[in-house]
Amino acid sequence: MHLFQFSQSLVPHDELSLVFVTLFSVVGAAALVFFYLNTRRRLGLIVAAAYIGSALGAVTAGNLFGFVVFWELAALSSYLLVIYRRDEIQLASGYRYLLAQIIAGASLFLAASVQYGLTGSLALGEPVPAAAALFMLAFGIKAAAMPFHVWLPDTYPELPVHTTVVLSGFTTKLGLYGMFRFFGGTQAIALWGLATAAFGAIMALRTNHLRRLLCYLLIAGSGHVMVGIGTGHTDAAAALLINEVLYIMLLFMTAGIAVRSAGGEDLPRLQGIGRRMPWLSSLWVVGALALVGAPPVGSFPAKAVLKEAVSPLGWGLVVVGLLMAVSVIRCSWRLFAPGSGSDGPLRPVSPGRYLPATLLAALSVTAGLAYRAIPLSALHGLPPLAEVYSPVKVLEAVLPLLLAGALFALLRSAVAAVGTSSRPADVDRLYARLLHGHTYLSRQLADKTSGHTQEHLMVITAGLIVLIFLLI
Amino acid sequence: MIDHLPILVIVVPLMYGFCAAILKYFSVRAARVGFVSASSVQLALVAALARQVALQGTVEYRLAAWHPEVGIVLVVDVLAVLFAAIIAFCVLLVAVYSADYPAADSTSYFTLASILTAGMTGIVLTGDLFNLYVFIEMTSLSSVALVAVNRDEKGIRAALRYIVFSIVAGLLFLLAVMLLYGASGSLNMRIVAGQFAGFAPNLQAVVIALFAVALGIKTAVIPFHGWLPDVYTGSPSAVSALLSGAVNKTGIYMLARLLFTLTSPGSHGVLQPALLAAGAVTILGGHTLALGQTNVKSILACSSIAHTGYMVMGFGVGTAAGVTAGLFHALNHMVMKSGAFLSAEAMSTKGQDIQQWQGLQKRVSTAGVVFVVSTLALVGIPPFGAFMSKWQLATAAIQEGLWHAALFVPLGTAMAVLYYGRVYRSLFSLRCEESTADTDMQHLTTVRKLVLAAAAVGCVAPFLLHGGLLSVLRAAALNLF
Repeated sequence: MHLFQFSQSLVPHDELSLVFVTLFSVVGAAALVFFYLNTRRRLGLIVAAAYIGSALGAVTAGNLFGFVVFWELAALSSYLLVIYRRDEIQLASGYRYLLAQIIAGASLFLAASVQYGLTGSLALGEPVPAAAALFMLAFGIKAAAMPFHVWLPDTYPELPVHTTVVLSGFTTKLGLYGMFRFFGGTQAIALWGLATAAFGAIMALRTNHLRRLLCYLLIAGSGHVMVGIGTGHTDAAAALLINEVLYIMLLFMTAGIAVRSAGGEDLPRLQGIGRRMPWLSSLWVVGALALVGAPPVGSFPAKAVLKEAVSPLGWGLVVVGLLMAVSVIRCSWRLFAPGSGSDGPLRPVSPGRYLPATLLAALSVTAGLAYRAIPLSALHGLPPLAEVYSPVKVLEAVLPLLLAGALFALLRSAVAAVGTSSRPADVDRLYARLLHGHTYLSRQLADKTSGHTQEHLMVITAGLIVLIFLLI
Repeated sequence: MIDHLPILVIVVPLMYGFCAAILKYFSVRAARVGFVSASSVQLALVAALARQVALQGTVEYRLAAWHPEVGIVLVVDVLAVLFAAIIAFCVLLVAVYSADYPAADSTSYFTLASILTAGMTGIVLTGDLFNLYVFIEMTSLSSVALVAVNRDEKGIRAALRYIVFSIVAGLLFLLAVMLLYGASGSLNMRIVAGQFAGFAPNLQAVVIALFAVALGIKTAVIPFHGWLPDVYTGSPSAVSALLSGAVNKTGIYMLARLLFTLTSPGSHGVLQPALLAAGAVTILGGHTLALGQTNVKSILACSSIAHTGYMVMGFGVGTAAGVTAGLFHALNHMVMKSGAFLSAEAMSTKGQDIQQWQGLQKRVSTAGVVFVVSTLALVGIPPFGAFMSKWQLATAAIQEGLWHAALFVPLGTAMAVLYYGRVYRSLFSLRCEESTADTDMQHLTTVRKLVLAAAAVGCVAPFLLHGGLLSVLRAAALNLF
């Protein structure tokens, strides 16, 4: 369909767009159900739906212009979603969220106009060299790649649990979608992705705030996908991305339920909650297994394919995977440890609330077993079940997990000593300082240039012109 | 009568201005209703004129049928009628909104606003240089008086500053006109433009510099912007909307008209780079100034400076596409800024400081929504018109290889979010200032809500209808080449 001057297809127009549309539709539905179960505010639901719709629009856009428009619409609607409950903390972090999103949008805007101005074409594909850095900046901010990630662990943990769930599925994924479109096979993206993954994994170790920890693991997951994109194995990367979205949303849902019923989200406070809520803990286990890429969950075949494909960087990913596993084990240990962190009784959770999370867990497991049904050649071309789940391969995947477990057991006190902050120091302080400096300079400028300075300046200029006129 | 349309669109508001001065002694209400009707008639006349231009092409009207070499002509082409429409629309918006606006003792508002309308329309229609100067002065004097219409200290101070700058600009303009008359012996723009290329190079340079500085002061291009923040902040909001939405656009019109008719694009080496540089500095400086403000109206005022920069930059690109983008932005800016100033007016019963707006969204929901919509439009994101005009501007600049210029367009967007974001943060807050908690918020009348809604629709419409709009704007831009 040609809407206005830009081409907007209402159906996916190639394999990549098909993958994203299917994924966004499924997790979008699950996220909306979760949202509805947690809050009955109609306005919030409408905004959430508009946000998911804009994300769908961006991945179906047939040309660059449509992509830019829907990208910015998604940024705008997600900002409204962030601030709609309007408490002070949300408004403050929403301000920074909007700023990050608009900078990404402005950068994409300039990149797109450079691309169009130079080539005269709005096709999605190879960026011209002049625009490449700008595209990279835009996608990097949106995908929360280090060091442009600060908006994510700043905003997501402060929001109501259902809002975090909705946001976690789409904003960063739009950035990754852009990288898929423009930077398949760009070495720099692969290295950047590895750095991001390592950074996310390390920061996750340092924090003990459940949802912020998940945010850093989300960043690490995006890093994995970037490695796949950068090394040119976009198919494997797409396979991992599907699973990553499923498990991170599942983890945010379970974390959300736990946080709401315990009434706090520092790990010590959540101690022992897993024992008291068995269904919740089984969902958590599925998510945790998916996160570390252990069988029988979907990311097992996907991660195995990716590690094999990116062999020179594969070792980096193994180390990062180990760190992520330590984080997950640390969380799970807390959740299942004896004793109770909170004095009061847990808020009861009606069984219906588990519905969307259960759906995602089921999908995750299905993706692990019926991987050949997914129309991506990386998965489609894999050998049958028995071969993929051969004892050697399974052991290969479980070994790091065991190693991480051993590490954790040995260094438990050290790990606990590192991860005591609910908001560990990040590079955001640097940005805050820059912003303050800028504001200070603007105030100075506003003070200095008002008043009589201006009048003098004008008279001098006018005088100069008259003088020139008299001289000639 | 259809033949006399060009002069009617000037005479109708002028006549109403004098009628209102008498009418208000009999009934203030009648004066108000008359103002709204006169503005509606004005818009209808401009629409009829636009139809005439669309059917016949450029319309030339000779006053009292004098020959163009000695008499005054009005030349109505697509560009002129476009700006006449922008002005008439803005005036109508403000007129309806402010129908019950000024206190009863400042009813000279109607007279002044009507004379202002006549002056502005005259500026865009006339084809005679001296006549243009007369209309400029008419516009300046009535707008200066409007700034002080409430007779409060802030307004009078602002008006004083405004008049100093206006007079200097007017004198520089007059000097340029005198030079042109001395060299060509004519005041008709077309005749002067035809001979301009034959003038001594020094004379050409001085005339262009004089026009550029005079209009730079009028449109508040940095470094001539010093008057604008005080004036827009000090005047009543309806007047700010008029100044920013309409009066400023007449300056933009003259800039395009004079510089491009006198010099064909590309012929004057320095002019295009100078306009580009002025545009870039104005965008950057305007946004930076806005960032340093804590008063919402001052923020809007400084953002007006920045937005002038986008238009000037469009002219600086110098191609038809660039000028089209500049004109498109002028159109968008009129409706966005009017909407922003009018909704800010509805919300600042307690004050205009950002802190005083804390939690206001709950109390004045319509005005708040329109404020957010129009300021987001000013930021320049979809689905608002300014996104389209910024897109046109950036691509036009890059097609000419002007990277450094295009860079400022998204930079401005990012900076605008910094300061509007602060306002939103306060606006959406659930915490109420004690001072605002017990205030009776003034209730917006239905008419005012409709005006605000129209402004909000006007922010979105250019985005959706940009295909048709762009073809009109391109025709207008081609009038200059």
